[in-house]
Amino acid sequence: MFNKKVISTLLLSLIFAVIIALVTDNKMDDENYKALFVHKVFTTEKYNLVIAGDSRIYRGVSAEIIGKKLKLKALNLGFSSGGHSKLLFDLIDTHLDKKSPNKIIILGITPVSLTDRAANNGHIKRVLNRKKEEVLEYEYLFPVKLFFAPTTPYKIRKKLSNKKYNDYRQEFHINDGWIASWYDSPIPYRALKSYKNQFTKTTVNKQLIQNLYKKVSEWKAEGITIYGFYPPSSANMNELEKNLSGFDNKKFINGFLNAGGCWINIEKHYFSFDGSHLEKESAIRLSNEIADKILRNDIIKTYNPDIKINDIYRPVNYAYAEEINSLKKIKLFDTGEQKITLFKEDLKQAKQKNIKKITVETSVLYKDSITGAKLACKIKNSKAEINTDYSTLPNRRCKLYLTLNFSENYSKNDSLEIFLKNPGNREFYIDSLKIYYISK
Amino acid sequence: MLFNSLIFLIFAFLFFSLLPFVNKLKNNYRWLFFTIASFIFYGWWDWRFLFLIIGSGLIDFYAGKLIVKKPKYKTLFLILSLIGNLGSLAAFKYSTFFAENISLLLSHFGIIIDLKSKIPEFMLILPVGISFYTFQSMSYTIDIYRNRLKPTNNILQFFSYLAMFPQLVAGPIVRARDLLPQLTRVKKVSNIENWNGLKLILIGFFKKVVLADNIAPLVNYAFNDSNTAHSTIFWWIAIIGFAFQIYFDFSGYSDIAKGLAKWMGFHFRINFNHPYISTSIKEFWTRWHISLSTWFRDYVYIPLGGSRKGKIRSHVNMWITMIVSGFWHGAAWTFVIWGALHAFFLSLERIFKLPKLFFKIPGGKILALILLLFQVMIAWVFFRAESFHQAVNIIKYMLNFNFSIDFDVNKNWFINGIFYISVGILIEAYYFFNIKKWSYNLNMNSVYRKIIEPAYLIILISAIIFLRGKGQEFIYFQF
Repeated sequence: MFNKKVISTLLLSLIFAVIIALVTDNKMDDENYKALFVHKVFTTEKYNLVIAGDSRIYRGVSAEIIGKKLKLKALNLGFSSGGHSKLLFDLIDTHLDKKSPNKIIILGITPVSLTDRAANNGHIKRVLNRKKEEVLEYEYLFPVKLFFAPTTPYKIRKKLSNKKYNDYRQEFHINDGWIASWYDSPIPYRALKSYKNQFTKTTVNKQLIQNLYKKVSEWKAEGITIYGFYPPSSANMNELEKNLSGFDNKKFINGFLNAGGCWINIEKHYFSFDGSHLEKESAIRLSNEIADKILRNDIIKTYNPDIKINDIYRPVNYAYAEEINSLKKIKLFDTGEQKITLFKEDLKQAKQKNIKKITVETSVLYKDSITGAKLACKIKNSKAEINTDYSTLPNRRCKLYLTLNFSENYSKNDSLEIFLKNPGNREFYIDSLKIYYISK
Repeated sequence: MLFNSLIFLIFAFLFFSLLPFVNKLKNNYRWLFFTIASFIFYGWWDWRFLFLIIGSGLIDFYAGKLIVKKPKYKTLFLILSLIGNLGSLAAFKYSTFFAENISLLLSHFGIIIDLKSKIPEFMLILPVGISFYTFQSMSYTIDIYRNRLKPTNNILQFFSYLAMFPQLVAGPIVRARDLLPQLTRVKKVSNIENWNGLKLILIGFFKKVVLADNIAPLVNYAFNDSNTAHSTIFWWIAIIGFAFQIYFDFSGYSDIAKGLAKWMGFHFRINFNHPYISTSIKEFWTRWHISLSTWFRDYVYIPLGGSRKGKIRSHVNMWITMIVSGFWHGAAWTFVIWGALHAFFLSLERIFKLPKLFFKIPGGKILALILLLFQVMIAWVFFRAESFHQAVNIIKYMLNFNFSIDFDVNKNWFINGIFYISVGILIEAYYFFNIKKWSYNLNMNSVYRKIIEPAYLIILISAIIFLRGKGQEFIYFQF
C-alpha cells in the first residue's frame, strides 16, 4: 500500500541508523541496568545458590565467582533498597531449585535491609510491574535494543570534546545479577547523605528481624543451607549505621544462628567507591572470601559470646567528636598542602570535659599506589608551637589517624591546626575529617 | 498498546499489511477488521475494560436508533444514554474523588466514615481513554437527538467509529458526523497522503519521544516530594518545561493518530495549532486541544445559552464550561482550579478587551504573548501539582525573586531537559515570527521534494531512535 518514496525513506533511515549505531558504539547503562533486573525477576531458570540483599549485594558480590568455586549455578538477587521481607523471600523461593540436593541461600544483612522502607521492596515491585512486552524486549530482543541505545546531546558534546561523560563505571553481568562498579575518582561520601536521611526517618524494624528468623527456620526445614553475612562497606557507613539505625549486630547474629542459619565472618578489608558500595576489585575479593569460607567450612554455626566476631563497627571511645567538612571532598592536586584551623571555642569545651587526648582522623584516597598523603597537626599558642606530629600511610585507600596529647595549660588564645600534605605528584582526596576529644 | 512501544510497531505492520486486502472486501468485513484491530489495541492494556467500551457503545448505539424510531420518547433515550456514559465516568474516574470529599464533609459534622474503602477495587483503576470515548459516544446520541446526524444501523460501523484505534485512548475526539460517512467508502490513499501520513507520524514521534520524554525527568523531579528547591529560576524552568512537555506529548499523540488515519484513508481534524504563539487566552483555546474545546463549546457552552443571553450570563456560561473542562481532565480540585483560572483570565480579557488594547501599542503582540504565557504557566502549576498546597508554594517560589542557581539537581538530565525546552522554544518562535514566509518557497522545488524532504525525515527517524528519552506513557492517558 505504501509508495516507493515512503519505503525507500524508511529503508535508508534503517541503514543510516545502523551506521550511527556502529560509529557511536553507545552502550547505555540505563538499558543494561533494566535488562539486568528484568532478568533477575523474570528468568525461568532455576539456581542452586541464591545470594540476596540490597544494593551492597548486587554491586558488591559476584554470584558467578562464588558459584564457580562451589560448582553451583548461582544468581545474585540484590535490589536497590532491597529488604528482607516476603517479596524478596518469594523471589528466592521461585528461583531456587528446591529439587536440587545442594541448595544454598546467602543473605546479605545490612541495617538498611531491615527497615520498613526496604521491606516495601519498591524496586522489585517496579520490575514486576513492567509491561509484558517490555519484559519480552529485555529478555529476547536486548541486543537489538542495546545496539540502538539512545544518547543525549550532553553525552554527544562530551564525546566530541573527548571528555568523560562521568567517572562512574559499571560493568553489567546480566546473567550473574552483579554490577561491577567504581568511580575513576572515588567519592567516599556520595552515598552517605541519602542513608543519613533514611535513618533519620526510619530505623531497623524488630518485627522484620523476627520474620526473617522464621523464614530462615522454614528454609532450614526444607533442607536449604542459609548463610548470613554483613556486606562490608566504608568506616563512615559503619559508623552511620551504628549511630542511627538501632541495629544490634551481635544480638542479630545470635538470633540468626538460633533460627538455623550460619554466619560468615568477613575478615578482610575492602574499599568502597562511594561510601557504601564496594568497588569492582573488592567485590571480586569479597566473593572469593565468601566462597573460600564456605568451602573451608570456616563459618560460625553456634553462638558463643566470647567468640571473635569481626565487629562491623570501629570502636571509638571519645567524649565528643567534631566533624570538619563532613561529607565534603577536598581534592589536593600535585604537591601542596591544605591547612584547617579550628575554632578556639573548641579548646574551651575540651577543657571543660577534661580532655586528655585529641585524635584527628580522615579518609584518604589516592589515584595510584605511589602517592602518599601526610597528616600533620600543630597545637599553637601565642608564644610557640606546642605540639606537632606527622602520620603517613602508603596505601591506596586508607584512614589516617593521628593522636596528640592535650594539655590543661592551653589557653583561649591557642589553636589547633591540621595540615594535609601531598608530597607526591598525583592528586588525592580526603574526606570526612574528624577530631575526637578523648577523656580517658 | 502504546504508540511508542515495539509491540505497536508489530501491530501496525500487520494491520497495514492486511489493510489493502481488507479494503477490497465488503464494508461489513472492513468494519469487523477495524473493530477487532481496535479491540486488540485497547485490550492489550487490560482486556477486561473492553466490556466497558462495548457496554457504553451498545447503550449509545441502541439509544441512537430508538431516538429516531420513537421520537416521542427521544428525551428519555437521550437521558438514558447520558446516564450510561456519565455514570461510567462517575464510577471509574470520579468515585474516589467524591468518596474522599463526602467523607471529609461528613467529618466536619462529626460523622467519621471511610467511603473510599467501600469502593470496589476494580473501580479504583482508571480505564485508559475513558474520558475520550465516552465523550465521543455521547456526541453521537446528542447529535441524533438534535437531528444533526442519522444513526447507523450497523453495529460494526458504529464500533469502527467509536473504537477506531488511532484516536481511541487520547483523542482527538472525532465526531460521528465526520467519521461515519468516511467509513462507508473505501478511499484510495494517494502518494501525497501516504507521504504526509508518514511525516505526521514521524513528527508526532519526535515530539513525544525526543522532546516530551527528555523534558519529563526535569519536570518529574521538580514536582517530586523530595525536591526542596525554592529558586525562582528553577521553578520557571520547571513550569516552562511542563508546558512544553504536555504540549509535545499530547500534540505528538494527535499527530501520530492523524498520520495513521491518513494511511487508513480517513481524515481527522487538526487538534493542536501552536497554542503557545497565541496572543490571548481566547485564541489559546482555539489552538489547544481543539477537538475538546469545540466539544465543550457545542455540547456545554452553547446549550447553556452561550453568549446569546447577555454579557453576565455569557461569563457565567463560560465559567461553567471551563470548570467542567477542568474537572474532565482529572478528579481533583487542582484541575477545577486550573479550569477556573482560565475562566478568570478569559473574563478579564473580555472585560478589558485586552487583545484590542495590546494591538494599539507598538510591540503589543509581544506583550500580549508574554501575558498569555504568564497566565497559561500559572494555570499549568495547578494542572501538574500533586496538591493545592504544593501548587500555592510553587507559585510563591515563582514570584519571590529568589535568583539562586544552586539547584541541587542531576546535572546531566537537567542540562538535557533545558536543551529540549530550548528546542521547543525555537520551534514555536519559528511559527510566532512566521519565519517560513521569509524563506524561499521550497515546496514547489523538485529538489526539495526529492532530496531535502526525505533527508529531513531520515534525520528525524535517527533522532527518534538515538535521542529518545526514557519511555513514558502519554500524559493524556490518565484523563
